[in-house]
Amino acid sequence: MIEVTSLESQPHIRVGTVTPGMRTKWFPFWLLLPSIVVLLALQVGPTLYSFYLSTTRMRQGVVTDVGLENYGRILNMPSFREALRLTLIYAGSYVILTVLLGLLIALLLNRRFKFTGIYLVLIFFPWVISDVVAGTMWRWLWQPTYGLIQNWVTANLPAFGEHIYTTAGGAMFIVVMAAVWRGLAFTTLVCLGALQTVPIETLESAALDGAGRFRRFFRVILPQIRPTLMVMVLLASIQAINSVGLIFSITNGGPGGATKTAAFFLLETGWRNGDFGRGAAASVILFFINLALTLVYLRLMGRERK
Amino acid sequence: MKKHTALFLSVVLVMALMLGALGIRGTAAQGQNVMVWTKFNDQNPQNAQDNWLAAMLAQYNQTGNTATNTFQPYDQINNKLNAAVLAKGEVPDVSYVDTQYLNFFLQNGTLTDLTEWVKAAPWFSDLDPKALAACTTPDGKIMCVPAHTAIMFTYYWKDLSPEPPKTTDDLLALGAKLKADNKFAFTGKLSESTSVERMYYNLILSFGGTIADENGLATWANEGTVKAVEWLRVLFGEGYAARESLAPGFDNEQPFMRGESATFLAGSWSYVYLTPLTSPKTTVYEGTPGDVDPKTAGAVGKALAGGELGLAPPISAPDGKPNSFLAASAWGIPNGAKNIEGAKDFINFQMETTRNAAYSIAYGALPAMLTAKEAPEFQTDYWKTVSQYQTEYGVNSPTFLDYNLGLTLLSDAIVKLITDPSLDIMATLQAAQDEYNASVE
Amino acid sequence: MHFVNSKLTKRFDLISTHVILGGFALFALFPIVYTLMTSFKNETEVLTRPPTFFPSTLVTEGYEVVFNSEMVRYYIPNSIFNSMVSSVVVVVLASLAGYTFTRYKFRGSRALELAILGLMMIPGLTNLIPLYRIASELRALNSNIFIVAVYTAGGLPFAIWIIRSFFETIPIELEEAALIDGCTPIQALRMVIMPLAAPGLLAGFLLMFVDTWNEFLAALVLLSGNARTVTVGMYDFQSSFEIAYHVWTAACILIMLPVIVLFIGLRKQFFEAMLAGALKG
Repeated sequence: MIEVTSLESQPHIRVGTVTPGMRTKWFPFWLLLPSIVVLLALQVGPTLYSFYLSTTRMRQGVVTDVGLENYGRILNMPSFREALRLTLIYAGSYVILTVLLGLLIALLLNRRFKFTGIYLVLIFFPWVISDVVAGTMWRWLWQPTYGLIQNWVTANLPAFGEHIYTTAGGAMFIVVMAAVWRGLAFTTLVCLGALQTVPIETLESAALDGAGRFRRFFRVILPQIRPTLMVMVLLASIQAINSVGLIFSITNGGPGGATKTAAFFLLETGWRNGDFGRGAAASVILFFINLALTLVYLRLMGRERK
Repeated sequence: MKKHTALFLSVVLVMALMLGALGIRGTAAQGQNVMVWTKFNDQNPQNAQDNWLAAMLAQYNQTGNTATNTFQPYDQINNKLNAAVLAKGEVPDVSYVDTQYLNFFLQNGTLTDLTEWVKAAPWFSDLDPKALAACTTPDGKIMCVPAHTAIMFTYYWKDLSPEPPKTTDDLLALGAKLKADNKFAFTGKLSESTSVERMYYNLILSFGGTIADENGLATWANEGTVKAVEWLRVLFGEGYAARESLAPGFDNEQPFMRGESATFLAGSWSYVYLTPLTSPKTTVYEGTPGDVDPKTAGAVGKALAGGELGLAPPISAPDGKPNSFLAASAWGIPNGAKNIEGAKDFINFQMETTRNAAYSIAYGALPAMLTAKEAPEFQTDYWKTVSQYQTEYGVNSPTFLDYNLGLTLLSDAIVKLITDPSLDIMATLQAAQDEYNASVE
Repeated sequence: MHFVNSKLTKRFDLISTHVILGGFALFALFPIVYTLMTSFKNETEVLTRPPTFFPSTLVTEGYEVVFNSEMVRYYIPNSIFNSMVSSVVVVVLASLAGYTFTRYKFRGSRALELAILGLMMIPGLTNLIPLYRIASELRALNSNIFIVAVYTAGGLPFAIWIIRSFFETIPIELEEAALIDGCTPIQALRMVIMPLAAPGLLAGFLLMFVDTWNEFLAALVLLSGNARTVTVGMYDFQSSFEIAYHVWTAACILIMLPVIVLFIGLRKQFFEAMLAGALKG
């Protein structure tokens, strides 16, 4: 992954290379055509359609054009605003935890002691497991009466409560924990990839200059891997904002809506309640949140380069 | 051309995908087959309801017409039907519907009006008026054909509660008594939107409150609801209720099935699922798979016969009347159905005394046909009690215009109030009510 | 790589590294192992207070139920079909696109590339309701082919990004040499680039396969009945009235098995590609 930066400076491209086989001007176009067709039909098209749907309301099979009314209504719904707040909590804690822990693991792996490679493989197991399966497993561990972890907590750490799963904060905690469990592998790998680009000579010379461990990390390593970390933060945020599988299978939005994020709200409104117009409006709002994050990111990258 | 082969192939592949998707169009509409949606699974029967459907379809397919069932999970079927109609997608010819969604279907134009046909049908005069009312709109249109009606009440272990627990006060006293033994006074499904149908609605009514008015607007911010919530807070705050009640899914059945909770918020259908039962005296009652008579086969029936299990009316306020939400399972024909004649034929096939009785007993509800109600299988103590509760305590389903939204907002508000005792009850209820009313305007 | 001051520090580093990484590995594996244990318990043992970790006797009842359900009969084959087909199609399309973007520059090529990558920012959720309507119009609800097309479109931008980054690490000189030797561009792509790119393509395949296998929302909305996939089947398992954790956990194990096997099989190429090429851009 990563390196949107390299788009700026593609070193290998020879502009205007002309070789016998490349005589047709349309050749690259043909290579790209299948991808373009698929993306136009099933990504761009539906998104535009979603914009259109968000300005309509359907009643008794009759579609009426309501302009931006759906947006106004949704933004005025306390439960949608609450959903946005919960999204911030969910995505925020997910991103912070996965990136920091991923970085920690990557730093340890990058020490390259013997036999640490196996840890990377083991840590990757959760990544291949689907949201719904992971959700079932965590839900089972935290089940109020028969759950293994809950029973352990009740016996050993009573301060944390006897029914974490059915309290508002506890349910969010479990959902975030499960998400971090699944997401950690990828951030670890990305961090490791980035760390391996840091030239050893630079580190050695810093060490010779008497720089301690922390100093080396903050002065030498961090500046080097910053661009990668930032892409990772962007991708992890977008992923957390848009995913609902774990929430579906662990809490189903409960208890009392304590884990209903904006994505869950979208699905509940647009799908379960059959309100396509408002569901589409919610999805367009999510889309703009993603867009805004991306723009902020590009901006920061731009500033960095200056 | 040769060099373009790989490329050409990939383009072909993509086009094939697109065309393949289009090609399905041809196979959808076929002959006289009736497409049915139910929340039962005839392909892989797991319980009495699934077995019933498989047997019934086999019978129907011998009549010359054929019907194919698509299994839709119980918590998705009504909404999926509505979404399919709205999207002008593949709608079934006839579908299982829950009548509490009637207003929601009306507003979205999901179902076709069956008034003329139902009134002319031979079985019309045999319909239980309460069941028919569940399918009838305020202005008298009949939108579906009721099959049976179910209600909620209480199962209790006599060993833990010698007297039938009837009021909210009874449950608190029971809870205080049982707490020392690490047992619960109550368990039941109090999470997700269906909790309103099962508990909150009935309780609020018995405390003198309301949750919706005749215009379909919410009215739940009232004294009755506040009292109900105050009681629930004590019940959970003191640890008298099993915490599974607030979890998603059906984990809440476990404490009762294992004799650890004195009462269980039951539906008339609960005996289909509660097996095996372990009583507080550790007697184990096993259900017989495949047999549907609660008296002879179900674990519940055996525990009742064994004298350890009792039935009680729905929990009510100390000075209030018990209430139980009454809704029917029905057959509806969605707008856009292709084989309407087939659908009607399929419904006619169902609306016959023995078939209606068979469906009802497999489901765990009282038949919508009066003659079926007279059938011998409904003359047991269990069904007589259910029938009596229904007559005495049955109340119509809430009139929310946007049914799902109303249930969700109310359920979320109440659960939030239970899990966070610092919230102001009235303010929280009012906020949810305002949100609902602003939304359906 | 590490700059040690003393033997003691080195020893401390070694031990602390193993302890911390071991802790994380335990965290990663614990739910899976407990799920495996639960899946071999019987109905009563699953629900004991306090819970036990190991099953007292190995019972395969949970698996028997799952083996006799739609999970094995329909959902797992459906998921294998969907994931296999869409991953192969995505890798083919993405390598054509990735190749083009790294080897040709034409007017608007960069804009096009950015536009495709920008599609990654569209949440899958946004398209759900439109896709449902499109599928309805095409009478393609419950069609594996339609959902494969949806997955293909959904995974393509990310796959293009990964594969393009990997192609960039392959020197263009090799290809030029092949072209000068008289290969056509497609031949050069097939004979020279593809073998070198194999780890990258396999990594792309694995990423795509895992994502598709685990996809939940599109499958929930677009599929019903026997066309459902493992994730939706699992969810419906849970939302049905029966509470049977030993059956659910057995289903969990069966669902995760194919992807875990695939991951273990391809892990070398995957890590090699992700660390060497794809992650560095």
